Amino acid sequence: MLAPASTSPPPWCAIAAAVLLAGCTEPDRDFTPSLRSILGSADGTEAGFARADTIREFVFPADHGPHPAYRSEWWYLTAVVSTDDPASQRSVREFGVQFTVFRQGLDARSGETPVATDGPEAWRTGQGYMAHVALSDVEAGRHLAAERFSRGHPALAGARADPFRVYLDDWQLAAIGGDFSPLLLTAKSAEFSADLVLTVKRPVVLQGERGLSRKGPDDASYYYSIPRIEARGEIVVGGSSHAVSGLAWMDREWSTSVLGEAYQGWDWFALHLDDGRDLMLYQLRRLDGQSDDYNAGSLGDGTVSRTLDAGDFSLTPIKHWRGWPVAWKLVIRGDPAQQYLIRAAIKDQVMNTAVRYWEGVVYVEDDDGRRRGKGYMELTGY
Amino acid sequence: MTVLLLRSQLRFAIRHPVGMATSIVGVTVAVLSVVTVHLVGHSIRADLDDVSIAGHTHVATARTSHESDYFELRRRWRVSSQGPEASQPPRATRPDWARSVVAMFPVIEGHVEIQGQARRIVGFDPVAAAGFGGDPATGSRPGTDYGRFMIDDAVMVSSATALDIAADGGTIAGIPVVVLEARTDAILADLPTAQRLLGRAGQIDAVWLRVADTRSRLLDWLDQILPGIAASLPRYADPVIDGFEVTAANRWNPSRRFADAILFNLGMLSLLCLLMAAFIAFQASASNAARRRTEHDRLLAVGASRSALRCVSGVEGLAVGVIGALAGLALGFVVANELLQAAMPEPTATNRASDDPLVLDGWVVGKSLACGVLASALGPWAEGRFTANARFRTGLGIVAIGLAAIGLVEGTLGAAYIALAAICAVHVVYVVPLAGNAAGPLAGLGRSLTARANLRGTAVRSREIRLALGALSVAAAVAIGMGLMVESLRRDFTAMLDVRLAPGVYVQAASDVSAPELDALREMDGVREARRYGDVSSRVRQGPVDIRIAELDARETIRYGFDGTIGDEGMINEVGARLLGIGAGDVVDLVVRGRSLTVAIAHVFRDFGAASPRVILPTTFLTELDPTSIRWRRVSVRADPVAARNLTAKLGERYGADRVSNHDQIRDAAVAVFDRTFVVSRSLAVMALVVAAIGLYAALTSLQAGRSREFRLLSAVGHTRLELWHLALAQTAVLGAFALLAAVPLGLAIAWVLCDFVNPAAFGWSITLHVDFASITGPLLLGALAACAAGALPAYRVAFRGTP
Repeated sequence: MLAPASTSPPPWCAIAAAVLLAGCTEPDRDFTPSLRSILGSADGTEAGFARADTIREFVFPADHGPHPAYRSEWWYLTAVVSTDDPASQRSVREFGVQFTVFRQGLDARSGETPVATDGPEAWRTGQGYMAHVALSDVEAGRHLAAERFSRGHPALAGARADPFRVYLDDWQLAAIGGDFSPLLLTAKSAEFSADLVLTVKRPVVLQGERGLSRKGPDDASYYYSIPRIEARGEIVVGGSSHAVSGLAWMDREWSTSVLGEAYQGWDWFALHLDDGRDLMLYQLRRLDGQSDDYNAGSLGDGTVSRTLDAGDFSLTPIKHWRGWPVAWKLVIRGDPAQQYLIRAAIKDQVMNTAVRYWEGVVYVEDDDGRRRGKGYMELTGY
Repeated sequence: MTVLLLRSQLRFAIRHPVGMATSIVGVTVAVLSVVTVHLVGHSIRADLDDVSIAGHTHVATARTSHESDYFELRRRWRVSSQGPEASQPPRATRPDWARSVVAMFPVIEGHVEIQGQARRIVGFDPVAAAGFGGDPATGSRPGTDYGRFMIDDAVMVSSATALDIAADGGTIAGIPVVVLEARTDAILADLPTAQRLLGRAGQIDAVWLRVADTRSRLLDWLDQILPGIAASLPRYADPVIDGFEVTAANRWNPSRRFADAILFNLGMLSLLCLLMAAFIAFQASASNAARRRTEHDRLLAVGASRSALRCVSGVEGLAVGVIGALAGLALGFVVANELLQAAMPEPTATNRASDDPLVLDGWVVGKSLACGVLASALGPWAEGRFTANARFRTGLGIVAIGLAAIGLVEGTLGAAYIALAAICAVHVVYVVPLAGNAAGPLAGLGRSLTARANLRGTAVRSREIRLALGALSVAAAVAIGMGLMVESLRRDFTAMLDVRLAPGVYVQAASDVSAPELDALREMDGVREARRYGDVSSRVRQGPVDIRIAELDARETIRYGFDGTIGDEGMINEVGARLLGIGAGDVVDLVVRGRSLTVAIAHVFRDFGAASPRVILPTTFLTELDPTSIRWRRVSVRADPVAARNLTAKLGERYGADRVSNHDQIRDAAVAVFDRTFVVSRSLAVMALVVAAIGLYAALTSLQAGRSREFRLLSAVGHTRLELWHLALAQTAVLGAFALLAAVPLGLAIAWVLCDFVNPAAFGWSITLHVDFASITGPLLLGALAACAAGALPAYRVAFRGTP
């Protein structure tokens, strides 16, 4: 889940100009596109796209695939994995893996026609893709990230539901067999690579109101999570290969207008608690500093899922690092544990990509400092 | 103590304003030249730059022209960089070239017809080229929906082309397009749009790469510091990609090379000005030190340290540098504007240089201040520290002669520049002092004892001011050399125009001129001959090549300097021959609409002003070309001058007045453009002379200071003040004359290197050096005037006031 960082003009509208200017002036000059534009604020370019404003029935596997009628969409996978070599009796080495593919529709009409497989029309998908991959090496205290861009084209980037595959060049998340699960994540950058086999262990959780996640009075998205996925595979970093296993979380969201002008960003958490429960929370940060009524979350154990409303929890930053709140106090009303401390495993997990945000591994601790879980935190708009 | 020193320094500056003013003026003119070169250079480059998308640096071409080439190359580029561990299964290893490539994108190029004229179109994938980045400050205009670029059949064009497209009913090649305005001479389009407009679905011509490495970044910096200096240096480690031919993009941009070469010449002139400004500051500092010796001794006696005195001098130097830099910056901005106005043709929609306002960016402001402070600080720093002894001079001379020899043997652009610099160094170190010494033997020619002593003293004093004389000599020589080169080029250029543009009329028709129509033209009154020419777009692996089809009989080939008829071979212009590294007797493989065409080259012809390769083929090649790929729009009609004027009017009625030109008009316009082009270099050469004159003034002021006792003695023995002034002035005149005479051989050498080495290497043009009397006497006269002006005031002051 991502949130706006600034109110710059939409990047898609500047592509061609950027290309020209990059050549005619200074080749390496870039500007940071706004997350708001990727998330789809009401800037005039949303005309013609469908809006997430009513409850709908989710149909799988179709909904795992793209929804070109909506302007923005993302496939978002985070995993906390560790080396598993019991024979060596060595302390485990922990890694966080983030893989995200964003889809941005350029034209509402593009969803109306099927994608051509070749020829000029194959270039005219009307879709743009941006992908991020990041690795948090907790032991080494470093965070590595890479990003790619491409237009939609069968040979370059795209998404499909059945068999499931979302890809940008050779980065991909794809079903291995005929079913959605197991999945294979392949993401290699200049500095690291992650090859993980992902097996879904718990059913889909529809966030918000049966999948309609409201982010304001006029803005909403369709949002579901696959909160518990077993991850097993190989991480290569610094020239060393590590066999790893752990848990992953996958979020899917699509919309045409997620955020309104009243918001500057949001803080999002996807946590696997050691007692077997999965917790998702987000709080929207308003420009006026007020608490927002649309903060929400979910807490479930695979059989029962409880929807959390703004009044059910509170998040309070207790420690900052260079302006990023890297430690939080979480209070969940009605929860046996009541209070948790959420702490970043590494302070610097900033995604210095075209869209700048903080995304990384966090640990959940109780009042006594004992670890109660782990997961991912995302901070945007700082 | 510091306050005391500062007050002393200030008091001295107020009492002796001329010295400080000289330093400030010297720095001002030097910075002025630096700023002018920088601003003019950027403007020229902006105008001459080829289409550069996302700063692409290389062009990769495969054996086929299919999109799959791009997908294959991109796949190889994206392969993981992780090296295989010994214990791990083999993992794909990223090739070396992939590490330096930061972006790649497919490109298709060609020509489309708008308003009867072929326009270059470049289609590419914008997301692959630049991601989602952009520059809203200068790129996106409010209300412009650039998203349509990738959705609709939209093209980005200049406002002039937009008007032409509108006149064509908003279509290109009959296909409706959406026009988005941009500042580009070419038409830019999304890849599938360009494929559609060119009728080449599924094809691309090349994959353009952006390579970034440390060397290229360093050269970019160097280029900002001294425009054009990096032109001849290999900018990138060219990627070697298996199955693809990779060429540096700037290699196929002769316009840019042309601009770089001119800029380098101008940059060297500005550097010369800068060095002379440093020399002026050096002289001013030396003369101030001499004047203030007693005062400094007193200050030292009351407790001031030498370092404190030096520090205060440094503050003064800094003030001079900053004041001079700011003044130079302001004046340079004005001069650059004026020069561009004078040098550039009337503003047009596509002429960016003339319609874009000059901007004082951080680079030029920083450079001005740095140059000003450096020039004003270098002189005082060197004063008392630097003495060029005989051994140093000998060493420098040997190194310079060696560099000059190597540079001329090597023959590349960079080597030629080094040779020029080395020749100038030899000139300053050896030739100018020798010329000064020659005044000694002339002493016997003096009519009186005083005159003879004065002349003998000239030889001695020439050593004391040899740097100033050397600067004047080099400035005059550069002016002579550039003048001779420009005049030689002008002669060759006009000779080429005379042959090509025999009296007649040229027609650029809006539609094809058919054979019957041509016959009808031949029947018109006064027409001696009418020929039509076909245009075909083609390319070689590295870039586009224009093909022209013509009847290559003896009458036509003579226009290109070839004696005889050409049947089944072709001719190529010098630019193309140099870029492709071919000559007469070689073959060139062209690609026309995806089909290969091999052409044997019979002759390489001069094509001054041509920015791109051009091949002329005889009509026998028509059988090998797709008839629909040829546009028969150009017609040349020969007629005697009187008939040509009438024909111009008649044909204007038939084809449109703006499509018909009298050959004489074309010739005059071409020569006018030529002359405007070299206004900048001529102006800077004059500027260098002015700075040299100021340097000479500073040196003579210092020199005459040493003669005050001698003049007092001469005054005591009965010489009038006017006679003393004449003596001082005569010495200056003799010194100046020798320095300027020494400039003639150096000027000739510079002209020779420019004509025989620099021009062929930079532009691919061969120029025959013509020694033109006016090009030599002009700078000499100007130099003499400058020397006299520089010497008059110090001579007057020493003669009439007893102190300069």
